[in-house]
Amino acid sequence: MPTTFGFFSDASLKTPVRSALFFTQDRTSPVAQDRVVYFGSPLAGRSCQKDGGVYVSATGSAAGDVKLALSAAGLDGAAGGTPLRLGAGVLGGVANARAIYIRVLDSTHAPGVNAGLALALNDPTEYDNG
Amino acid sequence: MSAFDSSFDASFDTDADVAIEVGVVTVVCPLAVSVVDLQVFESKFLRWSPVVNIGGTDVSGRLTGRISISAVEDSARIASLALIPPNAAALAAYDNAPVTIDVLLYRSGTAAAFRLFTGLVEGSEFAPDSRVASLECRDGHQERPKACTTAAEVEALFGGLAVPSPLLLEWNATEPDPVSYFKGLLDTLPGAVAIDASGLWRVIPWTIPATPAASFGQDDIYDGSLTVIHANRADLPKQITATLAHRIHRLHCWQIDVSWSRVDRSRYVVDGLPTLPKATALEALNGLAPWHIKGSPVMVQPIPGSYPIIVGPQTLYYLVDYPEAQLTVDAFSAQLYRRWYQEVEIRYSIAFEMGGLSDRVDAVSATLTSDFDAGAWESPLSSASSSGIYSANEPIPVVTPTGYEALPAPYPPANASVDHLGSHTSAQRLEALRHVVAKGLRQATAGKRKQRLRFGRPIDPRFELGAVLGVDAYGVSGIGQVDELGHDLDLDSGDASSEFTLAVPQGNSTMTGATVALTAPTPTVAHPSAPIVLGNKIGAAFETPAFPDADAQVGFLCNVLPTSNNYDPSKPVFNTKFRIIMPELTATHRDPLTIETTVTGSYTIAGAGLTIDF
Repeated sequence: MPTTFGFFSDASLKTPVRSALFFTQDRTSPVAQDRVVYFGSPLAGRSCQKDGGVYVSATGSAAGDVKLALSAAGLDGAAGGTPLRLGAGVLGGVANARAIYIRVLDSTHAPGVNAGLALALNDPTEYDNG
Repeated sequence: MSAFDSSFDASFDTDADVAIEVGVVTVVCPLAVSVVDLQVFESKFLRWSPVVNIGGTDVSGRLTGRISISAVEDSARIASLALIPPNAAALAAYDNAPVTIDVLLYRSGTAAAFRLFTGLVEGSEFAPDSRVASLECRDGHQERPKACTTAAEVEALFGGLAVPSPLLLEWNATEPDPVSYFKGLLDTLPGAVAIDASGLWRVIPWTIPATPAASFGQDDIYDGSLTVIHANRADLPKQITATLAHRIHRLHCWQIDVSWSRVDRSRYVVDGLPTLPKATALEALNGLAPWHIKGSPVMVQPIPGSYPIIVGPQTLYYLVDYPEAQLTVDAFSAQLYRRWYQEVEIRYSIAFEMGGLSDRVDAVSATLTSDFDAGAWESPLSSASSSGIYSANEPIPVVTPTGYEALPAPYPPANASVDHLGSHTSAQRLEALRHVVAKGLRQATAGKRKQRLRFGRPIDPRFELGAVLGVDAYGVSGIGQVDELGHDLDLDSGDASSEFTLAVPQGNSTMTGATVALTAPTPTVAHPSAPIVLGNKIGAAFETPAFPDADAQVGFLCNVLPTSNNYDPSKPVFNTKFRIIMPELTATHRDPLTIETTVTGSYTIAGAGLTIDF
């Protein structure tokens, strides 16, 4: 039985994020870009749990340039590189999807593409609650 | 659940005993950050290379021919490319595989990477002789609304800019049709929706600020590529009107006092005139439907006794015995009323001046119909309205008497009317009006935005749909919003170009929007309330007109006896009866009525147009 929790482009959890979310910034006058993705499972009978809570965090090179928050307003107060707690667990179903707001501002200002970044979870377990 | 910490709440206790571990969730969301040096666009000698990823595999080295990407407002972004697959399995794996197309731009000392497309392979054609597979890719624009299961999910696709109105655009929860609902809301959007190059859904407001993000002169665009496109005649009528027709019921109440009193008592003796039986009076009053008696009529009975009547030198006595007194009336008064509904259509309209040279006026309209059961309101209640569950002592609710107890509420004021707007709240009605006005505004703005500027230049992926750009070249200048774009990368020739189409409408602001207020007109109805004073019409008498006006013969119609000295056998003789003629309704208050009302509000359309200098 495959796991069903994942990252989606839409709040209705219909379009999985299959390719890298692309952030573009100007080298000389960089401006942070915000995007939002959704974490959840379209199946209502599932849950995603981890002792201590489910966290998502940026991994890879320059992960500290990535801020995460559960709301657009929360990005302003978020600290770069800090894992975002999605909750003690995340229930399946569209209504329980978590919006994850992402703000990226590359600190190196070095022209090029950094494709080594990703959002990853702290290895939670998915359960089928029947 | 005991394995987990105390922060789990009850919602996770669905059925812990039967929870099955599915597995560890290891999904990741890849991110890519491109730091670009915008100086690359300052060079005419730009070098480029495409990076195409299909199904997680970089196929850039297998590309051939050209890569084309096009995007239009409210449509799917489409990409086409050609490549030589390594084997049949790879070719088969392209079907429905995720695709990203990036472009790397270089000039001496600097570089920039941009994403041009994110989507899925929609279809492919393979040419065995050349081993070239041509792929058509789409971004899934249509699938987004189709995947929605609730009205809220569809509405979320418009970022709060669309104007829903459940009264005019209903979400069918039983048989959801998200695509139709999406189209209905899109018709109210003062903007556009599209999926951007990164695959993210975007809502693009139609705003055109005075300062563009970039401006292009003659040196920046390809020679001969600048085209001015004027709106077609069909897109630019003289005027577009948006109208909400609200069909309601105007409830009228007309109330008239009616009274009658007997002749002088002497005529009972001298002319043998009959007295008026109470039953006859009541029958007349009750037979006037649709006029009804309000409350109870006041019947004045004669007082039993002996009344002296002086006839010449004689004094006679007119006797009223007790039984007769009970059955006849000397006078009566009653309040008669009738009530009825009139179908009224209140048309709230706003006109969008389009500036077209034709006389054509286009219309956007919707109708809101009151759900009030006016037919039941107008009809008297059945006397069998009892629930039938009581055999005795049926509880009767204590109510303040209105006089209209036989009729259901509401009770319009006497000789006036009230407009019953149905069960819809004023907020719902305003919502409906805003919905219609938004449709009109979108149609008007879309028509004006058909005035466009199109130009090509070396590949420039900085600007997305909705970007505001300026052009000042070849005597043409204007600022507009990108509503269509295309990128073309030719691997054979090395050419890479972009084409932008700017909407440059002649508007009146930098924003597109409308504000409206809804105020229902107050009915000013006044039915004539002059009382009807009835008399007695006496036939077969000298005083009887030879040619009485039939319509004026109302009241108690009776005749003198042939034995009376007042008897004239040549005069008309009445059928003894009590006759009441109530006034008729005028067409103004009876026939369906249309009231035209101009909406209080304003609208703005973003854009300053363009100028052409010869």
